[in-house]
Amino acid sequence: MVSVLAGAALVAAGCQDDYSRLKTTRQVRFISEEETWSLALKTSLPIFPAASLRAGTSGPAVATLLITSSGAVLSSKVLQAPDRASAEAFQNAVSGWQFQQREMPEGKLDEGTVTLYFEIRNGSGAVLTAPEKVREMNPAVKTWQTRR
Amino acid sequence: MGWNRTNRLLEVLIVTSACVFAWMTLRQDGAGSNPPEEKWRGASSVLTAGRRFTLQGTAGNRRHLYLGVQTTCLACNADKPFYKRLASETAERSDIDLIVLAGESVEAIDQWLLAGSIAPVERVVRLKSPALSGFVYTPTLFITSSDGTVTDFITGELTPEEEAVIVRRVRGEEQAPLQKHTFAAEATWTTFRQSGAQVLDVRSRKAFRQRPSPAAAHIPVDELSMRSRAELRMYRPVVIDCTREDWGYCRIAGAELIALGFRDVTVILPGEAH
Repeated sequence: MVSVLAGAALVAAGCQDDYSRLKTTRQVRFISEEETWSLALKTSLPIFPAASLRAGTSGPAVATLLITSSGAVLSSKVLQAPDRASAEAFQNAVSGWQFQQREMPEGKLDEGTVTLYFEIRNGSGAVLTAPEKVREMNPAVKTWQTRR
Repeated sequence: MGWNRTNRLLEVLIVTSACVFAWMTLRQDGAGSNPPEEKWRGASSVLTAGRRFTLQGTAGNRRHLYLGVQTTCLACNADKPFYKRLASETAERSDIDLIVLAGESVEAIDQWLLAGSIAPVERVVRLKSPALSGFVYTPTLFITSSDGTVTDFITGELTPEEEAVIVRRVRGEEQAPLQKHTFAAEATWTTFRQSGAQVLDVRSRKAFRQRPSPAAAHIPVDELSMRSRAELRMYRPVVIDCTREDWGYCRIAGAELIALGFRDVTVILPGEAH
């Protein structure tokens, strides 16, 4: 168990190193979370981790993504998560996300932020995107649908 | 020719309607000390001694005794006999007026005053958004000098000693000004939550980890645009806990929330919650 956790930590640390390296070596443009979601084409959500459900941990998870001009996620970094299992699930899920293609100078990347909500509802785990959560909390606010 | 005249008339009508609408909107909120573009400045913190507070239509050369109440507030109802006494004290004096402020309708407050025989009252003013005018607690009682500076400020249920001091201050007798926020830090946040307010902490993750604020929702200032609407109800008051943070960040956060459509935003500065 300890080795699995240590391994996960190493993987996470590796991802973050890669992320930092890319940020320092490539030209990066920051885009808001709203813009990031509006550019999203495919956002497969993570499954609420069984370990988190057993432990009863829930809450928001925030990640930043480096997105190429073709819309692929080059690297990601989880800034906040309810626990390690949720962070790993989030990190794995976002690596496959697809965003709209954009015209950008060669090698330039967009850095966007995305928030997911890991919630326990009636004893089962649910994962909501930020726009879904906005619609739930403030139904009068106009948001957009994200494709999964 | 006729068509041009109709167009001109239509333009004049539109401009006039816009002006009337703008004027009515400005008047609606009652607290008119700040021009619209400076409204945020008025909403930047809770009202306290030393700040300025003026209402449109109040005489500028007089002192004012303001009473912020709610009909459902237990302490307000408990202090009704004292408010009745204050009304007669101010009626006897020519240099001070009693003005009642509330977030409820004027009719409801009038009935409440009538039931407590609290009269005469110079004016009853409905503040469309009490927190935007600096009110986060009822009852709040404060006195302003003739230039609108708050000289005395007290919140919560009053003790007999405090009542005696207020009466002396109303009479203009020599007495140290009252400056008392009833609530201690933790009680403040409890009060805010009980009143339906959402407490928000906008510090960075690192600062929050070092000194957590378990009572508050934590959203770093640079993530507010999306997360504020996902985690906070826009129609309920938001109180930004700025007691551990640089004021500049909280000001940005407050301005951003207002720009996003949050109507009722208050920032508590260091020292104000104690």
